[in-house]
Amino acid sequence: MKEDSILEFHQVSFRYPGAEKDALCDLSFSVRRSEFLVVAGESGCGKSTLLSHMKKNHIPFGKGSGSMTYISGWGDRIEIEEMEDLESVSKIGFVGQDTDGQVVSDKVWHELSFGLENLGTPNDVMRRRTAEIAEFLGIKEIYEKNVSEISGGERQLVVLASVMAMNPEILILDEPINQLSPRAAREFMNVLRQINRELSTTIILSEQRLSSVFPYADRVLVMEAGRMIDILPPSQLGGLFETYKKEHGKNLAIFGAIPAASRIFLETAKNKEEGMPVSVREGRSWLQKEGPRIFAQQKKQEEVKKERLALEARELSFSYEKDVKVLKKLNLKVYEKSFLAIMGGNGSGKTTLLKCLAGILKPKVGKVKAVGNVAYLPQNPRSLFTEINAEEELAEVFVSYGTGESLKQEEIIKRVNQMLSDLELEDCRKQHPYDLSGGQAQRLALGKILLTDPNILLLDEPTKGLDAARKKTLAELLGRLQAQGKTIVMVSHDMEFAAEYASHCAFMFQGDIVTAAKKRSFFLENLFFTTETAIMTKGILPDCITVEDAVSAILGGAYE
Amino acid sequence: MQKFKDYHPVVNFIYILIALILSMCAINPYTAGLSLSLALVYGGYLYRGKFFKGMAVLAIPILVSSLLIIPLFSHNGVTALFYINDLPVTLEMIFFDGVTACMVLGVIAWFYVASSMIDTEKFLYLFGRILPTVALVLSMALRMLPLFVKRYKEVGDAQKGLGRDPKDMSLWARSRLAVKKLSIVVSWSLENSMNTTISMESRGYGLKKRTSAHLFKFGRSDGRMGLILAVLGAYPLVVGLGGGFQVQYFPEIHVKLEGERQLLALILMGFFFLVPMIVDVIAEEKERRAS
Repeated sequence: MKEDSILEFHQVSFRYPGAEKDALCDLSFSVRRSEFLVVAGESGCGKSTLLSHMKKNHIPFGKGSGSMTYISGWGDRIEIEEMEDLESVSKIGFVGQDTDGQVVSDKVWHELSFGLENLGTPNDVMRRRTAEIAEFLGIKEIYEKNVSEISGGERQLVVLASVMAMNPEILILDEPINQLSPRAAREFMNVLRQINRELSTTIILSEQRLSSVFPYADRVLVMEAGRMIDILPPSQLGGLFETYKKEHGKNLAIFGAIPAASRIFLETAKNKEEGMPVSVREGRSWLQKEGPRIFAQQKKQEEVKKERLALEARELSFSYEKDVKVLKKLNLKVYEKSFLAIMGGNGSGKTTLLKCLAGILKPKVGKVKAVGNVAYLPQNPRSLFTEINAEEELAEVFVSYGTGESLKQEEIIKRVNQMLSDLELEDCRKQHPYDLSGGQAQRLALGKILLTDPNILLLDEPTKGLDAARKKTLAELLGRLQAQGKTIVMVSHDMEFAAEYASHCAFMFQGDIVTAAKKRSFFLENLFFTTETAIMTKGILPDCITVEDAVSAILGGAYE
Repeated sequence: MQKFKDYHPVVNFIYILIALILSMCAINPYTAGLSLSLALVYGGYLYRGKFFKGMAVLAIPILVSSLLIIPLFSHNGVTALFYINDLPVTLEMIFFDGVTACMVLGVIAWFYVASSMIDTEKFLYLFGRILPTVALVLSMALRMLPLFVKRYKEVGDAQKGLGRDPKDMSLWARSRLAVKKLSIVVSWSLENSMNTTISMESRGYGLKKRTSAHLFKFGRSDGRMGLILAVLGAYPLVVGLGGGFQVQYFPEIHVKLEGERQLLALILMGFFFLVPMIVDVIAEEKERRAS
């Protein structure tokens, strides 16, 4: 039987003007009708370029070849580039990653109507469509609210709903959950699954955090450097990873981003061809069935040293509005040269705490005591950038506003150059800060605050939007800073990152720190608020919180 | 029972339109006085002291210029009160200017009152039908403002994190920093607008003539209210626009009410101006009883 496709790519190549290499290189594949397809690859591999070739008005300028074909329900074949505008708008919906920029109107209901307004739909029809979609996607509580009052996750749902109101057959999403917290991301993915299952809309989605999307995917299209490696259901990807590793001597770039269960499987399983687990549940049952059983508790002892305090908060209370307490008599101790990760849900007060520690907000009650300088890295590096290139951006730190001492020109140049080489940013010293990639922009912002010579670094969600490779670069950089004697406090949703690189962890809930401990005991003693690996291996393998722990436990254990 | 501002935007709009026409159709002490005093009554009812404060700020310069300054330079009229530089300051001129000032203040007061009935949402609806693009631009502007403020705060926090707290700065340094923060926000927002453009285009912006969505429903009560306004407003409008309220100021003042026509029109006009107040008072009374 012939496959029922809705979209076919045939030998598609594309090169941006002035580029030396193809951004897309000879891609051929077809997307099945009603499929949930995930496009996977590290950042810069051409995911976005590929997705933008699926909708007419998104196709970038440049040299392209090959054909992209949309196949209607009646079997008519239409080239994407030759689609009527009206058809393209109503058949193919597109959602991007920027939750702020995509919203046009001031009210939620007005935003939902935006696409319909453009098509000249009468008001009563719009009312009906927007009501239907709000009901279906479960956003009716915010229907009459202002867009500025709702959370980022809700805003992304509104963008999705606005596209869905036009009832597209294909929904293309370019890293839609990249900027969302894990909880909001999960809600968004559940809504997508509902759309896919209940409306049979075809979904094509790209994402870096593959662990959050693998469980939803029918198939995964794996890309590397503009080429398609393969297109397979997630559970059958094992073979692909294995062959790639044999041929290239290293893992596929997306390895670091796939679910912990999959990674443990790939590192240790004997037969990798079939049955790669993509969720904790599957991972656990695979481990139960095939894995080793090591009941001996070889508890890894965490060294106990005498430690000096670098930062202390005593009974901090803070509120933005009357009677709404964001911090409630919070106590916190941060030791010298440690790396503390503060985790917790949205609205738990993490960022407020960080700003109080940084001295940006003044607590109503309580005290913050810091030994030495404190510096604060905002979540969005853009909020720091003013200059036309990277080196001037760094030098800007020394512009005096009458609060600090001013330095000599040569001294400034020396320090800026030193910082550029420390952060491996020498190649892009003349680039505009806005043209830097996500990882580079963040390093530049970090460089800026490092030039204020702090002992204590406060980082607000530094791993947000970074792919696995960039997270690793960041971790190495933070490790170096720690070795230089700096103390690091990070607010994050990224448990995996914390488990791997932090030394201490704290769990914040409703304006207070509920647990604070060294990371190993933190993750092992938490039941729900812990890493996937810890949940997956609990009671089967001893004391594992990271993939490496599990892999070494299995390989070094009773596993033959 | 609903308040007057809860009626359909078209009803509110027609009301304000008629009220303004009636206030401006003639420079007549009776219509001007009626319009101003009833606008003040309703405005005071809606906004209390705030309203009178706002009106006083506007009224003082208007009254000073019209009662004290203009009569010094304009000398129409026959009843000279006194002479300055051999030129007469006349009673007619002062009276005429006083009435004009009342009329202007009445119009301003009605605009003030109108802002309670027609919020941005209703404004968008009313003008979105005639000028959908303007409505869209307004809606986008309303979206941009809070976003701008949010980003400005974020940038301010980032600068504080670099140790630049405006509190510790001189006025000069503080304003330099403010300019810097503003420039960050502007370039950030410009960059961001690229995404907005793409998002608009993907959803078919510019393909067809736009319609404008709204959540308003024209109900029976709106029809009834429209009818009441029409009945009360029609006759004064006919009289006013037909020049029935014209009076003579120069060279001598003739402002007597002539005949039943004018009197009836004035009475209807008074009721017309009182409609929103009556509606609101009844609504409030019912609410109080219900609770």
